[in-house]
Parts: sequence; C-alpha cells; structure tokens
Amino acid sequence: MINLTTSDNETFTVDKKVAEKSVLIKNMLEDVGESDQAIPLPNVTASVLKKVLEWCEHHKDDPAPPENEDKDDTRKRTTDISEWDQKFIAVDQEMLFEIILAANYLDIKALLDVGCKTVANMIKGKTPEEIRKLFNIVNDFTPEEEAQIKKENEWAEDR
Amino acid sequence: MANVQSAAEEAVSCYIDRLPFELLSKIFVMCTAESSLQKSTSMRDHLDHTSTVVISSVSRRWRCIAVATGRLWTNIRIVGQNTLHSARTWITRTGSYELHVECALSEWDLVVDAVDALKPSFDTIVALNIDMLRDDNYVHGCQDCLKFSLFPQLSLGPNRLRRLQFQNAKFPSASALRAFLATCKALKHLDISSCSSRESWMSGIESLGSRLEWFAMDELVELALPVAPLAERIRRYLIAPHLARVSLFFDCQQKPASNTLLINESSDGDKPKGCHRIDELLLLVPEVEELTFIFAAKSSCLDENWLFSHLTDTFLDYPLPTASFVSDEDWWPQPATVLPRLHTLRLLNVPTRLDIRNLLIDDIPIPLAHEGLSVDDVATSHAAFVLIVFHDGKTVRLPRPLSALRNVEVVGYRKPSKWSQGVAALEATGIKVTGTFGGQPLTGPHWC
Repeated sequence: MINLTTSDNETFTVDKKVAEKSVLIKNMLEDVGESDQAIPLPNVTASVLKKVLEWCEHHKDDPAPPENEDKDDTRKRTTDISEWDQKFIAVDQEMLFEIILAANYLDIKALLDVGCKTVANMIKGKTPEEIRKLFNIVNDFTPEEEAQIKKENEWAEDR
Repeated sequence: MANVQSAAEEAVSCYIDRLPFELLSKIFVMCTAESSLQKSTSMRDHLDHTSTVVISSVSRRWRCIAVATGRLWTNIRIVGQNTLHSARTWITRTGSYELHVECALSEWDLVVDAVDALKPSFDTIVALNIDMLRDDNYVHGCQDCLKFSLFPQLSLGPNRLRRLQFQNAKFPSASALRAFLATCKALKHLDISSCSSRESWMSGIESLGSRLEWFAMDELVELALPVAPLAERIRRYLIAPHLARVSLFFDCQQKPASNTLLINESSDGDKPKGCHRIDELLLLVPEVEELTFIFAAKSSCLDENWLFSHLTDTFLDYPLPTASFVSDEDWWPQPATVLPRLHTLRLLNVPTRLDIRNLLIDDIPIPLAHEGLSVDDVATSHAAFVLIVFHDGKTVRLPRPLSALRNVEVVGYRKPSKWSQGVAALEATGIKVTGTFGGQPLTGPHWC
C-alpha cells in the first residue's frame, strides 16, 4: 500500500497498482524504492485526489496506453468517452478543471483525455459569446481588435 | 473598489483560464477533431473551419493560444475569393504541420490563384481534394487548368500527398494525370471516381504499348474509379503492389463497397453492358471479392458461357501484381487465376443453357462450348478459379493458394439443364452452390 499526502495535509492509503496509474507516482516509487513515507502531492487537494483515485481504482486493470501513439492522437473523436467516464466527469466546472490539472500534474494521460474531451464537447457548436458565458470568460478585445477579427472571420467564409 | 472586487470574483470563477497553454491548445485541437477524421471531407462540412474561427474569437488569451496552435489551421478550404484570402493567412500559422486542402472552384483565375497560394506549402500537403464543380459553363476552363497549370505546378517537386481526390474533373487525357501520380510516391488513397476523360477505351495496340509507360505507386492501398475509359487508362499503367481496395463507381451511384462488382447485362444506353465490356471491368477490379452478374431476360451474349470464358486470361500486358496477387515471385505477368480473391459469385436471371461446370475451366474454345461439349471432353485445361487440371482423362487437383471461390449463388426462373451435374462438380471442389428458381424473372437492380 502507498500513502499519498495532499496539499491540505490529508493522507490517503491506496493500493500500489491504483497509485501507479499516475506516471508521476510510479516514477517516484521507482526512484525512492520501498518506503513507508507518504508521497507528498502539493498540487492536489484532498477532494480532487479522492475523485482522481476513484477513477484510478475503476481503471486499474486497463491496459497501459501504447508508448508511441499516433501523432494525430488528440484528434480522436471527442464524443469517444465511455459511459462510466461520462458519469464520473459530470461534476461542476471547478472540479472538472481541477481534475484536468491534477491529471496533468500526476501524468495520468487517459484521465487527462477524458477531461479535455469533455471540455471540447462543451465548446463545440457554440458561438464565441456562448462560450464566454459558459466559462465566465471576459471579452477583453479592444474595439480595434474586434474589428480586425470580424474582418478576418468574414474572409473565412464564401457565401 | 467595487469594480476591482467584481473583476476579481469574475476572474476566480473563470476556471478554464486556470489551464496552462498546452492544455487549452490540446482542447482546441479536440474541438476541431471530427471533421478532420472524415476520410473523405465534404465541402459542405464547415464545422472544422467554423470551430477554429470561433475559438480564436473568444478572448485575447484564447486567440493567442489558437494562433500559436499550428494544428488548428491545417484544414484549408478554398471555395471562393474570401476563403482564398483566408487560406493565405491560415497557411502562415500552420508551421510545419501537415495540411489538408480542399478546393472547390469553378473559375479559372481562382484555380490559378489557389495553386499560387498553396505553392509554398506543397511539401506539407498530405490530403488534397480538388472539386471542379459540376458546372458545364466552366468545364472547358477546368480542363485547361488541369492540363496546363495545375499538374505542372503541383509536380514541381516531391510531395507528401497521402490522400488525393479529384471531383468532377474532365481530363483532356489521362497522361497528365499519370505523370502527376508518378510523383506522388506516398499516396495511399486515390479517388477519381467522378472524373472522366475525352479518350475511349484502350485499343489492343495501345495496351501492347502501355508497358513502356508503366509506373509504380508503392504505397497505394485504395483506389476509387469511374466506370469509364479513364479508369482503364490509369490501371493499365499502374503497378500498385499494396493495392487492396478498389471501388468502381457507376453514374449516380452511392459509394459501392470495395472489391465488389455488379455487371448488369440488361443495362442500356451507353452504360457498360456485360456482353462487350466484362473484360474491361474485370481488369479494373482484379481485387474483386464479390461479383454479381445479371443476365438479360433475353441474353444478348454470344453464348451463356461467354461470361466464364471472359473471366480468364485477360491479364496479358497488365501491370500486375497488386495485393490481390500474393506471390513469392516478384513479378507475375499473367496469373492463372483471374480473380484470386473472388469468394462469392452471384448469377442472377440465369438462362437454362448455363453450365456452371464451366467455372472450373478457362479454355474451352467457344466453338466447342457451342457444340455442348462438357468438361470431360476437354483433354487438358487449367482452371479459372479452382485450378483443376484435366490431364489424360484424370482430374489432377493442384494446390489452391490463389483461389478463394467458396460460394456460387444462382437465381433464375428455371433450373439450368445440367444443374445437378454442375452442382456436383463444383461441390466436389469445396464450392458451396445454392440455387433459387421459380417466380417471375428478375429485372435486377439498375446501374443507378
């Protein structure tokens, strides 16, 4: 079993196989060797790590992703998310992006893909204004920049 | 103060902007993924294009990341003056990423301009779709373009094209297209199914002379052709050792399954008729796995067994092998098995004189067949499909690595006169024969 300590000082004891879904943790274990000391995860809070470990537990027996995936890997269908993963990732925006950041930090590629695909699906088919509203993004273009973008976008279509 | 607090709250609640550059960039690419995955892109599909434009119009940070993400701009679509202008900008943002280009242009000047705009990036284009638009007003101009401008421009240097599609192009001759194809060493998929040329089917003399101009496309695996002389004028010159999937498109037809062929003797007009063009059609698809032949109600073939005799011995002066003709030998100019991957043969509307035993041999002289001689009367023969040799009255079965025929399905109004002997002969070689007889004569599907 492995102990993991979060940024808010909570310790999780998990099966080594589950923890090693994270390449970061796997590498640390390989470097440090057998030890009772908890592995500190200063970039992950307890609530987020709990969710991440839930995902790792469910996917612990999944085959490892191939080393050299197709270079067009990120162009996989964005709708290609398993039913379990869809339910798992149906969380509020704050948690969604925390999971993505944690997956990135912990180097869990499959979980990162699930998170990114989910966000991509949220963006697709929307107008810029709808996207701003969805994610609370401020339109910080100057009027001049807006005019330039509008002109450029007009060029992008032939009617 | 209130404004400062409000802005701070707004910034805090904008969780997506907590993502670093590389993650947002990854998400943006995913947003444009699906149309890029389409094997054959459609000019009507603006999703990819629109997504990139939308993403880069959300905020300064998003625009900055989008512009720096070369892969977002790699699907270039030129359909008019505006998109041509836009393409120039997009190309500057793609860096060294591979480009997928679609051009649907009917005006000569725009085609030339488009080629000019693309010229600096030719070596990064991996997929090119040129649609000449089916507009009779522009047909002439497009021909000129293809002959005098486009191909020479495209052929300036080596290219990395893996997928090439021409739509609605009427080529003055196939030779310009062949010369261009010869430069496409990496091409895997070629689709000219909606194209044509002014030329007719090749004469015997042309076939004989074609050997001098054979060219190889070592990577080609998929080919879509029209049922037209243009197809013959490509295939008769093309050595494609890895070619595995061929589709033949008839007029107005939806995309057919690969390696299937339907020959309808009852077709009329200038559509291909079974009687005089079977050999040409089979030459276009030696990879065929399922062949359906529909006899006319009053077959105009010289003889009902004519079909079988034409399933053989047609590959003289033909640039084989392809992936169909798996062989240890490097070169196999005239295979004994004409359709080595054929596993299912459907014969519809069969006339009663049909003798399916003739599937087993390939060289019954037609006069003999006319006289009703059976296979037993033929001293020596080699098989079209099952490689059986009749020698000195004995049947010698050869190994059958080249024969895949397993199913023969026969449908007709009445049983052929020698039906039971035919079934026995074929089943003795491991071929399953099914017959359905009775009811009304089939009219069969038409070409379109």
